[in-house]
Amino acid sequence: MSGLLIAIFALPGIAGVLLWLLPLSPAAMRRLALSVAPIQLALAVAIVRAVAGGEVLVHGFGSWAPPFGIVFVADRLAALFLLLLAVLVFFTTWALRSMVHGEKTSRRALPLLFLLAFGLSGAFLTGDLFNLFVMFEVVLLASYLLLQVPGGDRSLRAAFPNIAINLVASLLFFVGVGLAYGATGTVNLADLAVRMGEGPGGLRLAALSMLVVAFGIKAGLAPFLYWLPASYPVLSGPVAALFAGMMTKLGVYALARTAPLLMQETAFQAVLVWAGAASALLAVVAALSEYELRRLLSFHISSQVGYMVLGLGLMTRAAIAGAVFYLVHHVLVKAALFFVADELERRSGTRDLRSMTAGAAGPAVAVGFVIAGFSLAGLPPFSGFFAKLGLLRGAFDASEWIVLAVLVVASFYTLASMLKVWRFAFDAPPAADRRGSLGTVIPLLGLVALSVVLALAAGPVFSYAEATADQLLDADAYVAAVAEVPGHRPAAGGFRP
Amino acid sequence: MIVVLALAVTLLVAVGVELLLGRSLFRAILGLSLLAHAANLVVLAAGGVGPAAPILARDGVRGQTADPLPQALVLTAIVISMAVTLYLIGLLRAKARDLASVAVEPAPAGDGDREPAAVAVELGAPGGSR
Repeated sequence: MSGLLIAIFALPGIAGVLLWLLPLSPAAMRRLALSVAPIQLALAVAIVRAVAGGEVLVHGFGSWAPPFGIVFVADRLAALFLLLLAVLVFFTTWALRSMVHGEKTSRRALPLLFLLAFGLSGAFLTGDLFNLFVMFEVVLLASYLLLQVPGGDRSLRAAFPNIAINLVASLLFFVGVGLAYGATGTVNLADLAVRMGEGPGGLRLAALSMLVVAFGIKAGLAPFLYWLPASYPVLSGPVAALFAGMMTKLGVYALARTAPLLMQETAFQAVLVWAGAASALLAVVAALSEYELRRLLSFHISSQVGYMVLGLGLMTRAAIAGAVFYLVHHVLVKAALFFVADELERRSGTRDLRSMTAGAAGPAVAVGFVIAGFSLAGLPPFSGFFAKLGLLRGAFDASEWIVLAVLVVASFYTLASMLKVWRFAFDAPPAADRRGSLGTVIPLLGLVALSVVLALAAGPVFSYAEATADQLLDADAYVAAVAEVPGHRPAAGGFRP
Repeated sequence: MIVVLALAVTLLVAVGVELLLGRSLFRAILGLSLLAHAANLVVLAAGGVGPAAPILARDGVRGQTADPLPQALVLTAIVISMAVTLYLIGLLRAKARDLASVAVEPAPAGDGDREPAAVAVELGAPGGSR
């Protein structure tokens, strides 16, 4: 079964290299991409099915037993991220058409999309802190290149701040890994979980603080969120949807993976809760004041990442389950909204809400926006309602009244900003000329349909989220699963579960 | 030895931050690569500084050699930071070609920030001179 982990990791990498190197016509590239993406989706579904019962899939590379070799670990959390990634890669490759977005864009973006998916899969699967750093870098290099795909002045202008802040975050991450190694003598996550308590306190604190700051920057958490709205609006349409859905969630994943394993101090949990609450509120206020549609949506990403991190920081079963459910809802809905933004911008020829022709996008996009936008705001009966309900219940159970208030207030602001978009971009009778191809609207409607399905199937998904929370809170089980991997062990040293 | 490393890290971080916060993109790139070197030294120091190279461990006594793992980590980090630095320099060239200016923000008229343009010329970017 652990062969699945290799397959889902290698597949997008191979596809990316082939798309890059083979002299294919745009149509052939699209065919290749659209045949790889469903396979990736099928593999992800197979992994989720394999781990849903509580089993943890582990693969040790090169017949070295952990902690000497690198391991890939798939538990419920990793499998869920892999599935969401595969869903977004599928819809993004579908939506990226050379006829619509230009031949140059699709030819340049397609290989990079798969290389990005390759790095993200590796990051979700790895059970080794240093390997996580390397995978972060793979993802970042692909994202730097994707930022330049549209070309021109704006891409260049956005590139430098984006790269600089991500590079600083990477250096903090790297030093954090080094200090953790200095404190414990290992970089294997499971082994670190065992030994973290033994290391010198100051060194441990320094290492973990650096990791939290590094992951916080990648996740777009307050106060490190301003690079995000500066770079996402530059990306070409469908690529921005993949970024909005998955890139910041890499930071969330890294926090969700390391916090229960390594951060036993309650101080870290408080930091996560308050940084989460601060970004939930600050980012949504910033979003409300924006008139550029994709900047507005980008600020919303930070706000919702705040919700998730907050749930994670509360470190109770209900709160983490709420955060996991919120993640599923957020990835689908956010990507759908970026598809909507792409449609609106292309059809009205402007990025600014104030100069958009209301009704230009046609009824199909409007329906998609209503469902996705109201879902984002947390109105029943859409998926966002159940997601927020889960988080509010978690905060209520933990008696965090201020957090509870922040969540409710932020929801009102979210609704207000969605109504603002509605008023500027849709609140008019559809224009007579609605020749825009339905083909580009289908991926958007597909994602919206998935979010509706999520609302209808909220029960089963929420029980998966609760099971994920149980698994995350049980660090010993994670350690035991990794320690079981057979392989060669040097005579001295080794794993002490 | 550890004191020397600590002083070197302090110096590299100080100079790196100073360069990064300036207006010239080329200096900022230099600053970022200095910060990367500082991070590498920290990781080397965190692994413990031994008297002998790890390759000698077969004959040597345990504890007398440097820890090889941080060296492997640093090697990986060097490769990554070199790749990113090269990419940044490539972007700088493209920017110099497009804008004939490499300041972070377009300089107001009369603000003679000559130096970045000179750098662009050094890099051989066409249109880099004003």
